[in-house]
Amino acid sequence: MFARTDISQYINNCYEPVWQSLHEVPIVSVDFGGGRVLKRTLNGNIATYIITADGTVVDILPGIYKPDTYLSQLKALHNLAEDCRHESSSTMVSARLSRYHSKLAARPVHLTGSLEPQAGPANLPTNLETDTRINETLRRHQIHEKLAQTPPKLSQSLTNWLYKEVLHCDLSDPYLGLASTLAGRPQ
Amino acid sequence: MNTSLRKAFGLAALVSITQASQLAQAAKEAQPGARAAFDMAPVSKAAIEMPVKNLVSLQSKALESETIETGRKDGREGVEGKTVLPGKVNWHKSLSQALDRSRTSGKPVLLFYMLGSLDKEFC
Repeated sequence: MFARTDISQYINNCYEPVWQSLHEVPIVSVDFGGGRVLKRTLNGNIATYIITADGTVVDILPGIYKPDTYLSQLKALHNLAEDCRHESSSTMVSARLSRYHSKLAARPVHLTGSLEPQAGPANLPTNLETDTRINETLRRHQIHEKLAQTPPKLSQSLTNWLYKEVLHCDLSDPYLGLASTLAGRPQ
Repeated sequence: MNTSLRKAFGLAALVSITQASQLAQAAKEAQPGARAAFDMAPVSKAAIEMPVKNLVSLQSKALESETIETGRKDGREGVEGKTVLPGKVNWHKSLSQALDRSRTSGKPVLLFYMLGSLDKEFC
């Protein structure tokens, strides 16, 4: 996604971008015998935070998005961050963000169509479509509810909450909460 | 069979019976909790060993990037692959640097969190 010219140019022009790794990426290893081992990285959960210069979290885009949707959301959140920048005080910024998140949290969540991902490489775009829809509805709704209370400063506790409660990837667990799923029964 | 050989077999048999008896007694005296550690719940193989197709394609949502290795000792180092350019974005080296620049440029910070590394080939 960051290799796309339109997205990278927009980010370079309108944001101060930085990436951070929260954890090593999980790797699946399938041993077929005879020394042949197929290893694949899992699709690590990602999150895009939009932050003001003083560390106030404007909004969060959870998970992976279709490039076009990602770009349109970055544009919308840039406008919101610009509005915040022109507020006269941090209290006014908090009030504006609280109103913004409260309004969106109050919207009913509509998620139509099948959420079942389709197997096979030919259907990867379908999975991305599904992820985008879930991110833009269910997951962002959770985030709006959280940030509606008081738009917080960037913190580890917020990130831990996001990964555990929204992305279902428990950073405090060495197995990232995947052990029960991979073992096929409760831990 | 001569006498000494017969005695040797007899002694060996006695030792075996004695050991078996001791083991049986030890099993009886063992704590219930200790025995439970060896109990296996009656689950099917399918419940434990998820079909590989589901594991890789559905549950894990694996990336398109993949590698097939033969005989490597350390998988992780091999799988993460070589260092690559993380897209065409001009990433700052640290969050503090991005925040500093944000104060002067007026642009908001885009903080991209992830598992793995953006500059590794397979992550």
